[in-house]
Amino acid sequence: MNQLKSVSNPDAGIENVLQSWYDEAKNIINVSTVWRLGLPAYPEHWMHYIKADVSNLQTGRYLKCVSNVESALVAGLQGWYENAKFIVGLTAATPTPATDPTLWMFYIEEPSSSPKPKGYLKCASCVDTNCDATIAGWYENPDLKAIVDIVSVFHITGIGDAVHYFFYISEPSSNCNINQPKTLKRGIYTDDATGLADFKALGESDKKIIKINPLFGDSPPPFLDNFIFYLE
Amino acid sequence: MANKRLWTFGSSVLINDNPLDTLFDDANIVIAIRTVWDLNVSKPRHYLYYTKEVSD
Repeated sequence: MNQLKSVSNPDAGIENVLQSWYDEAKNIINVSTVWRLGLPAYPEHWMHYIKADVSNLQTGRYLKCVSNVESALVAGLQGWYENAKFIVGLTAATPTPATDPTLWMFYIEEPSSSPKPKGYLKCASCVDTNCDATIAGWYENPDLKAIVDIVSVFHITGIGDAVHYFFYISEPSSNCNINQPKTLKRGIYTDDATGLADFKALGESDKKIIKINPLFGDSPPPFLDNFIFYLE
Repeated sequence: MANKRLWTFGSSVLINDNPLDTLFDDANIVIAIRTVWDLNVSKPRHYLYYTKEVSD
């Protein structure tokens, strides 16, 4: 029987435990990062996964992560990509307060000589204010080959606008498999009765949901804002 | 009677295997799990987004 499980670990020393996470997982659903408040505050990573029979487990590969602060992100992206056989997901978190979010990439590294996928890992970002045209433009980029992840974070937790990071593979050609000409959009669905109804309607439509990022923002707990990226 | 797919939020769950399994048993397809920091209780809170089949 498949079981849904989660594991977590503080950022410090995580490389030592990532492999034990991976050795038990049949299928990784995704990874998340939160900034655990304390003295001092520290980032804490979570992996949610499907645990299954031992015979079905993945072996012989390595789960790793790399990180960088936003200001140094772009310069390191291609190095991240060249080391990754498969990208599990990207996360972001900020302490309170912060001016420079930290972003992590979780990836699988294989001990093989398989050729690396063609393309370049790139990142675009925008502040969540009048961002509709910017987000649509991300998807209309003719060099867009594949969407890797979309990450949302507050620069200052609970205050101000969210910032969205769009990670994608680009290729300087028109040989892309993105199903254009659909439009990439961002909706905000607050975790209350109205938001739930709107979210249900979205799910029952023919729109394709790409990513859901909940954040506590202008709506204080227990309500939160769900930033939903979808194709229409 | 035909089933239709219903999208819904999962309930928030804290660090506990039992709620996770309970939610997972109810889910048809897991779309995503996201984690946020809940300032009210100073703990991470997990959200499971999933689809499930319901009768018309």
